[in-house]
Amino acid sequence: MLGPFNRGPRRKPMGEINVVPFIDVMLVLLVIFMITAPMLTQGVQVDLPQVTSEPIEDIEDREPIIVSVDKEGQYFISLGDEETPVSLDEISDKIIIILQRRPETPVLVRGDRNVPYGQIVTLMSTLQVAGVPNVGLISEPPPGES
Amino acid sequence: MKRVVSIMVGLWLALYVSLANADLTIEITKGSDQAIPIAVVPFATQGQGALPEDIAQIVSDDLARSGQFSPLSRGSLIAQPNRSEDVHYRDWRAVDSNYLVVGQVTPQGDGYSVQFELMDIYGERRMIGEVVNVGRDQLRSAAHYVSDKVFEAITGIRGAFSTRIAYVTAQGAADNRRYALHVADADGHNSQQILSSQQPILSPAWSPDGNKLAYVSFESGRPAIYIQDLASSQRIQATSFEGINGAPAWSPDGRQLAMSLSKDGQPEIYIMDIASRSFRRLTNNSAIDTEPDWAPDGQSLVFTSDRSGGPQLYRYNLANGQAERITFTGSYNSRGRFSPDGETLFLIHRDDQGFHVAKKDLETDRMTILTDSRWDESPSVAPNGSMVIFATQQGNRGVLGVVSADGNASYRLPSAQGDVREPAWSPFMN
Amino acid sequence: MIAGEAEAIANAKQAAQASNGFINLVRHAIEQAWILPASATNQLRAVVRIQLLPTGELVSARIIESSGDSVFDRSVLQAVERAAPFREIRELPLAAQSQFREFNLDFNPKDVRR
Repeated sequence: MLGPFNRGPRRKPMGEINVVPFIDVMLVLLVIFMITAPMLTQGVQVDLPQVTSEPIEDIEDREPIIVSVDKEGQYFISLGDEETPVSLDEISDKIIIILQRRPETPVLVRGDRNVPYGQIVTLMSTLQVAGVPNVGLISEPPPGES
Repeated sequence: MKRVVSIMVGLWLALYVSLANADLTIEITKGSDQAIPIAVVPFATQGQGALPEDIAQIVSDDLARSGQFSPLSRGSLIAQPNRSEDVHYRDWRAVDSNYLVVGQVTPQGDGYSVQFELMDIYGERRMIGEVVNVGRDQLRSAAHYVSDKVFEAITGIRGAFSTRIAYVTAQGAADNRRYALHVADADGHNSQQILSSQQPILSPAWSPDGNKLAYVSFESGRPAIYIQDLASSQRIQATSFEGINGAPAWSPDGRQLAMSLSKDGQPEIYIMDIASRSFRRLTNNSAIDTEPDWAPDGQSLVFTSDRSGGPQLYRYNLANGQAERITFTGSYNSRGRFSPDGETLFLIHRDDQGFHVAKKDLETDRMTILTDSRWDESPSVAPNGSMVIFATQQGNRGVLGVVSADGNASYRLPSAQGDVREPAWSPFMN
Repeated sequence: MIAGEAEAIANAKQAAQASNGFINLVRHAIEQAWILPASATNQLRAVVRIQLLPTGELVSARIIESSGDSVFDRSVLQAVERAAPFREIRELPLAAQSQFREFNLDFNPKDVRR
């Protein structure tokens, strides 16, 4: 076999793209997505409203508490066993305790698009009474944007 | 071949990237000295009826008194798990707790089985899981045991919550005064009277095994040193010489007592061999020498002497028989007590504000005042060296105070009416 | 040409300032969150390597140089977890962001007189 420095017959110019490094990179990306995806998704299935809006930039340096409302109108909170529905009172109690210990904790509402407007308002006023200064609403960008 | 090259290139890239990033290091040179937040959830009870003692509350109180912890209030407990399987770490991060204690109590035979677990919230891991069985009236001891284990697991320092204290109370008007010697848990509960007299009782001192107390009693009309066995209440009279018989201090091996006797003129320091009742005189001068305490290695003693004019601390080296002055700050330093590692002396220091508990680092000679009360006396060090108990004045009454060895935390022990004085912290009992 | 250079220098200056700001912020947040153990001495030193998501969330924090004292090591890991996330990473210039996705924290309480 000829060594790399031996002058052999000139090779033909390569007519195809070498995809192997590309595949390696994609594999790494896939692994990263597999690791981070479970960290980013919530347990409760919620069909979010789609809104064109800027992402909230000034979120505090805290893990936010997320209150979800599914399409049946049940409440969930990102605490404890987050897949068990909770009552408004329980949500209020827990938020009060958390704000006492960490007043700057952000609270976000993640409501299904099919939940009546009135129920979201009730939830938000409950959170306000519990002492949350501003409630963030989680939405999804419309398909085609991002 | 192509594949090998691409892998090489990939590896090289990875190496390059990690090298480039490895450069950035942020130095952290300061921390906060805040107390460690810890949540102690009320223990579940299996079976009917409430327990006579609230274990979680006792554990919370123990940890809070150490000054190193700030337990969450009951109202801040966001969930009520009783087993590690039911703990959601995220809940406790949300309320800013670094640690969590959960447990349950099950009646068993003639007593209880107490199961407890300690979790590291940010590390998301269980650090301790243990079961202790105690008798019907020992729930408080079980709680102190839990405190000891939690304290040690988190700080690396052995807990001293299961230890005991001895102290003297005085009640009644001057012509009808009653003195009593008591032994109680380190938190002041479960006190038991072990001696009562119409004459003063002074200077209780625990034997190194925690089974006996030596003390001075005036019950025969003049001071005498007694040694009393706590379990049997039997006692012997160790000394009853003419004049002062005072300030007994056990040697670390428990075979000898150092004390101050004035049988040969001025009060001097003597060592008594308990078995043979033979005496050895250490000091000989025209000043008052008293309040001896043994270094933990048994090689030297510290004592108070006014040979330089005012009271100062001296260290007597048993190997060469030399006494050397070790305190030079201020005009009054007395009642030196060694820390368990022998590196620090706790003492009473007077400044222009009054008499305070202070500590002196024996290596750097630095003196630090630990209390801001004005009439402190009789410091006695916990066996883990983290706290010092002392007598002080509150209003017109004598009360017991405790201060942490760094001076950052202090509290008063609750007491009934009358004066409380002469505290002595026991060694580890188990 | 000269204008371009000046702009590049200005950009680099801005990037350096932003990076310094982020470093100070991380340092401050961690110093606040780090509860020094009572047994800590100025002889103890531990280095933690941390990885962040682009949003500032902590991916991992691990000890790459142990102090040899498990209480001290646990306290520094808790400090990092307690101080996270570091969302300000999103406000850095893009080039600086990648630099701060992974870095080391060197814990050594120099001010402790023990």
